[in-house]
Amino acid sequence: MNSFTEQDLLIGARAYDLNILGMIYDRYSPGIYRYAMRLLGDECLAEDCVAETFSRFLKVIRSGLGPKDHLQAYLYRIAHNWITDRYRRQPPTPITLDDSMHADKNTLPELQTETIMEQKEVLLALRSLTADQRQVVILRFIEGWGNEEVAAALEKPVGAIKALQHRALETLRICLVKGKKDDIDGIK
Amino acid sequence: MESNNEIDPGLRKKLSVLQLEYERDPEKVKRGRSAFLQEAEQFAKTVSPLNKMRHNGWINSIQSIFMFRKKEHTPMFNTLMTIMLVFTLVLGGGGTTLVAAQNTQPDQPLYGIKLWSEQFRSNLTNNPQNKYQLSLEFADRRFEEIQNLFQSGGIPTEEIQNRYINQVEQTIRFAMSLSDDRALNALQQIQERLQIQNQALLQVKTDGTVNADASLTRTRLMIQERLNWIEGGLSNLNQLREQIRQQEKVHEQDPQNPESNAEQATRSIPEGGAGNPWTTGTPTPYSGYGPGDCTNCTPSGNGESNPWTTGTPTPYSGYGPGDCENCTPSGNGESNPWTTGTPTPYSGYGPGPGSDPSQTCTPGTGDDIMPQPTQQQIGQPTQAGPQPTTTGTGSQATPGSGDPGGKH
Repeated sequence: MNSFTEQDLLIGARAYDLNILGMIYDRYSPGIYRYAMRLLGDECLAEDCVAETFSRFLKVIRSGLGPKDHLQAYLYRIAHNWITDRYRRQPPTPITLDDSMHADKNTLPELQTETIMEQKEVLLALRSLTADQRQVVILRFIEGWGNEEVAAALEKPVGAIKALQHRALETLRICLVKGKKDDIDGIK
Repeated sequence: MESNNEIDPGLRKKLSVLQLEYERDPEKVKRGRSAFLQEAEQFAKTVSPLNKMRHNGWINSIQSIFMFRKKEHTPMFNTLMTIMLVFTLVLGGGGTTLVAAQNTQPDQPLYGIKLWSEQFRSNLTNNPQNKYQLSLEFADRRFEEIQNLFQSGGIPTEEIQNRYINQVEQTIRFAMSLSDDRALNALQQIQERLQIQNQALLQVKTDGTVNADASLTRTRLMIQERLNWIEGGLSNLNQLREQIRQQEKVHEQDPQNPESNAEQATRSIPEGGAGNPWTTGTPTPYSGYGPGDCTNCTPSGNGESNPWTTGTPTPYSGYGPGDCENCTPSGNGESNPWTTGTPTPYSGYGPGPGSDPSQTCTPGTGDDIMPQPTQQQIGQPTQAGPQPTTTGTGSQATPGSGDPGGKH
């Protein structure tokens, strides 16, 4: 499976080769799901995002358009746009604590709660960024992509990606690090 | 990781909470994969690239040269762009055409657009004062067009002249719709303009042809006539308002013929002696009123020269034999069919004096007396100058052959 390059996969996809399309799904859907989960924090929404991403990909191929290279970046861009539209359409779903929720046997509830709160805090901070800045941060520091790959996904030059990254990190630092420090100082 | 050097360690730690591996339900993965392949299979079965899409590659290639590369297929964006482009072309192109049309002359293709735009502007204006000012401006434009035509060696057609004079009349009409004070000021303003324009025409040099001179004279006469209106209006505003109302009635009766309404109204002057409804002042030379300047005119006699009546002349209408002091009545009493009584001096009936009163008139036999006015006589309704003879000269003046003008 790994012997297929992105170009090979794209050629197969344009020919509606179901094996190749299956390979594409297997290779890229986990990453897109993870990406969606990190931004949306909801399994159902993340599944919807994956399904919609691949459906749009098929439609684009059908219309004769679509990417000529950087298939992975292209799919992430579709997912990113879907998530951004979702943000615009409706506010973030409030996280509620259900009585029926059961604690993970392997982790203490207080630790789990702390993790959830930290995740929520980071997600809120990410939402304060612009869509492009958010995508750069996620892809660069969470997914671990290189500048060139991110540039391909956003269809921007590498220099622009670096500028976006710089501004995004500055904003996050203010929200997550400096703000917290000020809070602590205030308590003291 | 290369990115680790670019980020604050504290921040990296914060972000690491998102680097959890999320367990995905294998069942959902299977269902999602199956749905994706099913959709792909449907596309593969039924859809090959649409015909119209097949050759779109080269369009995109060309677009990519001039435009930013599209990230995704965005039909809504394309539709909006198309609509905006159409609006831009229509409005922008229309605006450019309108601006370009403003300096056109009557013989140029965009002149109609110029007139239309002026009409549109006038219709959009509600304030009577603004309407008047606008109309005055348009009248100036019409005059400039005529002046330019003369100066370029052309001859303004009757249509162009009428358009100008109609605009002047329109301006007067708008001026009359103002309050009395403003109307008087407006009339004075129009009067000044017309006087300046009249003077300007005096200085115009035509190419010397008869047509050009006649056209120039006609234009000046038109201006002169409107000056007379204004003169009357300045002395009696209500009278001018009444005249305008009458003129509008004439216009309503024949809206298809936009030829100078005033001219039509002038032609429809009622019975002789009732005066000129358009002016109470002294007739101006060449204005069409007052005695003519024809000294040696011979009546044309074709009967078509009098458009006012084709009926039988009535007493005191100015037709029939004139009053001749030295003439002897023809004797058979048939020479004047309009009265059987004794002709009253200066009544217009009875034998005429002939052109030379010193000549002795010989009573005629009645054969050469016109039993009734001929078409020649009808052709001279109110001609008041030196009178033409009909069938004879004064030396042979016989009863009935004298002054057809009767009373003057």
